[in-house]
Amino acid sequence: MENLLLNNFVRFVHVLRAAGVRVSLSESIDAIKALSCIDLMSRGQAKAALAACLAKSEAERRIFSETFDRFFIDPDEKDAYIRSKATARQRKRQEIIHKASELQYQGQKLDIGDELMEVYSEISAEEQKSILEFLERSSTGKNMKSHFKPITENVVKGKLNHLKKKYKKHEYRCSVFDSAVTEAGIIAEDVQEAIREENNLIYRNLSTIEDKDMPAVIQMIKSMAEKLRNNSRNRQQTAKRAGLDLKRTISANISAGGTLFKLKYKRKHGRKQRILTLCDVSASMYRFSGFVLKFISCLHFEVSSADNYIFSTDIEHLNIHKFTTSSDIEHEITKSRVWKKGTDINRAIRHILKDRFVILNSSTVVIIVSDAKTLNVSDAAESLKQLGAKVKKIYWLNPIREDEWPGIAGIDGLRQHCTMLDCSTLEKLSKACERFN
Amino acid sequence: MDLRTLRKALEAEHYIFDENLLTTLYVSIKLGKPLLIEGAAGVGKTEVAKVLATAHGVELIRLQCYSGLDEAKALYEWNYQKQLLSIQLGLQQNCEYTSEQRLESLFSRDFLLERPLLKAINSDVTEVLLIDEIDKADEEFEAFLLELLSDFQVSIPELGTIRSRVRPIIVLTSNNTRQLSDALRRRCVYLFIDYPTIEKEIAIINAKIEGVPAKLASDIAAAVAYLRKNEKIFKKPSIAETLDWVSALMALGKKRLDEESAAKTLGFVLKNQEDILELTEDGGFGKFIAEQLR
Repeated sequence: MENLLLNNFVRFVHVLRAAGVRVSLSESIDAIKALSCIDLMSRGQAKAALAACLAKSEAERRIFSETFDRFFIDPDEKDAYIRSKATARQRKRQEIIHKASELQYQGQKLDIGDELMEVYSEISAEEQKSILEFLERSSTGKNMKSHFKPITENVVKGKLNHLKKKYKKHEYRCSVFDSAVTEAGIIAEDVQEAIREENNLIYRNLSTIEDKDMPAVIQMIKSMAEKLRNNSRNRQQTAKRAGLDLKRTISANISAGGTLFKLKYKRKHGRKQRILTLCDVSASMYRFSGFVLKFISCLHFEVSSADNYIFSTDIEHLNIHKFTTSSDIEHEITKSRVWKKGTDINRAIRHILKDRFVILNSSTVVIIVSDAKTLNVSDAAESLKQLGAKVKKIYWLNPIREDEWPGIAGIDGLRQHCTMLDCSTLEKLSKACERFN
Repeated sequence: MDLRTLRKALEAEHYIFDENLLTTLYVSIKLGKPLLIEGAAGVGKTEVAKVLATAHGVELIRLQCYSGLDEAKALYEWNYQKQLLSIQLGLQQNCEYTSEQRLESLFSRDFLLERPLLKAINSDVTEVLLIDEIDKADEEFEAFLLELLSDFQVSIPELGTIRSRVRPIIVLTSNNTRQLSDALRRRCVYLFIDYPTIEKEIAIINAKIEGVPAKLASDIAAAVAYLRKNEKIFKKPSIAETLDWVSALMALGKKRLDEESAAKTLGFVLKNQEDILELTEDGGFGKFIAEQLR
């Protein structure tokens, strides 16, 4: 009986870990001990006792709750569910592979990878027919040799990649080939799906956020900006002790009759961390404009040590003293000469480097909000390198999803000189803000 | 202490709780592990420690954390004045101690000023130690606490390692203004206290304030829940603010919530000018009272 309980518990912990809750061995041991203190027949008490030991944050609590409710059900019902899901996935995989086997060039199967095979199986019959006709023409065409296969393959891959965006139902829906077929994996995926459904807004792409969601978005950005402010305050570090401070030592020891019990040392005053933001308000960023405007205005109000610039083909400084409300800032930005123009980040950075009123030192953190689709990208990389040498750190918040970055020209050159973070959703932006130090 | 006794103790202190809180508290006491409580400001985190102290019949030992808190203020400090006086008295009385013995006697427990952490460890009874708002302390102080939280001991260079004779009950609270380290979380049992439901809030109002008219309590609880759901309100009202609001309305002789008194006492429940403006621009409580409370 004890072994059954222990086995079940261990399986539950595996599911929790697969769902994203980091459970250590000592926490598992605590949880087992906790179960021995409560009435095991009470589901509520068991859930509370396990949660107390295994889920150590608000986010983990949500995952824990969903996992517990899905795992601790009638065992037969659970096994049947797991088996049916695993079988369905295996079947689906076979169907996709079978369907993709019709993609051939002169009798040889094309090697397009799992993801594109899945895309092929999901596109419309018409689109499938057009690809097959192309392959037929290529295979039987005049002077078409067998060593042209890679070229034909690339053409088909390009077409399927283009269709991938159209058919990808959900940002986070993973490929059936990556989907789990084990109990832990299947339950974990269901839990993650449920959490995403519940917190739909933070997982949604920034460009699809609607006006009605803006109040909630603003609250999230304000919380992030507040954390950013707290982080920058906490990081006012003092240097190591550098010699005895006699004046302070003597005054601290007057109560001890002048005997120098308490020694006070000189400390270098920590420099307040400054944040310099460069926000791209060009035409290519227009679809993210709702978010960018809110981000700038929240940052301005929450982080008083932030210096804000907006840029496109040129750069403009946002004068903080003028604004009292966020709508003032947004109005100012949309009326500025840089709104919805092209992008030249090289010019923006050069201006920053030359402007004598801009403070660039080892306490300055630069935050760039841009999709990296810029003119003069190699010059931009060079100027970014020069900027990086003068400041503490450069963080680049890119609202384009990371898997789409390879499609942006010259992005690798930019990434070498900064920390580029995927901020395509609020969830990712929140994680990015935690990295600012 | 068993579950039933703990339940009675919480009820005796008029602390409104749910089964989740009771079980977590119980598990923490039984396992002898510190309890980390997270939640928004004013949801009753510190109250848990106070209630536990009363339940155990001991005085609460409180350490309020802030940036810059160090060992001298949290753990111990040498009583320099007493040491100095002792030296001078020793010289006058021509003591027969050797200089080494004298030096050792100066760094003994007699000359140690116990701060909250050391007081909790040195006690012969089960103390309740509250480390309040640990997220306000520095990361260095958090690291310093790890030995205490895992082994209930501290190291003092002159005296060695001091282990607790009787393990104190340690409660840490956090408003989650910064991420606490995994090392700290791992050493604790975790409890998250969210804002209460309307029914629970009514129960809290009735438990904490005597003679509240039933209609007023339910109106206030519903109004506060409405404010908390409003995404435009940044600083959500806490339970403490709810109680203040009830007290203010009772002082005005109100038996139910109406638009005029709500507008006059808004400062008791919303502590942020931007939030007050947002609510006022949205029409205040007028629409809510008309639709939901009548």
